[in-house]
Amino acid sequence: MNTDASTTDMDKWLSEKLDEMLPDKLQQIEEAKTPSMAIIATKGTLDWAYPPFILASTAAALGWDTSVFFTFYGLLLLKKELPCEVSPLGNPAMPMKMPFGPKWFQNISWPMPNLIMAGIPGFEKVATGLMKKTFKNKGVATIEELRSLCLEADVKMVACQMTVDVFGFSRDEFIPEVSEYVGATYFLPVAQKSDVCLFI
Amino acid sequence: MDGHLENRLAPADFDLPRGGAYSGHVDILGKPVRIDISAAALRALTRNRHPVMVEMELYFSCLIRKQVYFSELTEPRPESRDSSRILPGLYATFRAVTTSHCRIEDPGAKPPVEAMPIREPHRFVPDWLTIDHRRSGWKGEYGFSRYL
Repeated sequence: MNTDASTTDMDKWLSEKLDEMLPDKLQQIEEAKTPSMAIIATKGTLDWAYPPFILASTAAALGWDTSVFFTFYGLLLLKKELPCEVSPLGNPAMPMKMPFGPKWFQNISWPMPNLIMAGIPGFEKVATGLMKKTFKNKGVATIEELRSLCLEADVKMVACQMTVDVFGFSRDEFIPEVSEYVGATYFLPVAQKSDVCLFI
Repeated sequence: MDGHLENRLAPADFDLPRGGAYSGHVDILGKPVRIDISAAALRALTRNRHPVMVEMELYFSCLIRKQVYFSELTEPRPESRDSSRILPGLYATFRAVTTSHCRIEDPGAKPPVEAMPIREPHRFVPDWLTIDHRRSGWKGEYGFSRYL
């Protein structure tokens, strides 16, 4: 009995069969797989609150499994009362335009010296109000609405427990829909397995 | 939705609360949406010759934008599950769109949109819609709130 020859023949047959069947099988698996996205949200200002919620809600709308890990200042985006503000100080990319008045007035980009932005009390509140009005004029959904959309679409909101401890928060300050309070070692494997991982 | 569209809203069609405004709920894509219609809007509806369609549009792009469009229905629409009757002569629909492409040679122009392939559209239907009518025309606003 020539077992070496039959083993070789078997290997050859198996290899040919795999070459024939495997591409289709892999494609079927790929098509049936639900895409996934993991976002690490680290910032809590008004301007930086938009990207994680927009990307998460869009991915969820498309049927992706989406998780967002809120850590460091990003944890503020999970507070019941969203405290998001924006400062133009040290933020030269922020356009200083007025969201009211005639069109020519709205198109003026006002040069604001740092001395004014840093020296006038309440300037950040003004800048925050102007940005919110600009977005409202254009019909852009608010951060609160985007967060509601994410929750409605089953986006998993994960909070960083270490940040909660360090900043002295208590869990009842946050929305009840936070799925877990965990550390980075929990979320890193989630990020590793996801198809898209974003650090914001 | 009915295949036959009532043309006009008559003041006697329903009892209006004091103040003449209307509040109620309508089912859109399987989700109850709270509707608030101002007295001015109701008066405008009774004057309208044709039914009015309120289209809520959720635009997915670099930002997520909400828009409300009003149009008059001059002929009956084919029966559809996508629009709901709020009142006689007033219908509402919701759709999610996304940009089909953005071309650099079209600065300032609105990019063309296409339907957004949402897996479960009822999850993105708004929670509330307000309708008003002023001298400049119909005004609508909608929003989302988990804690209404």
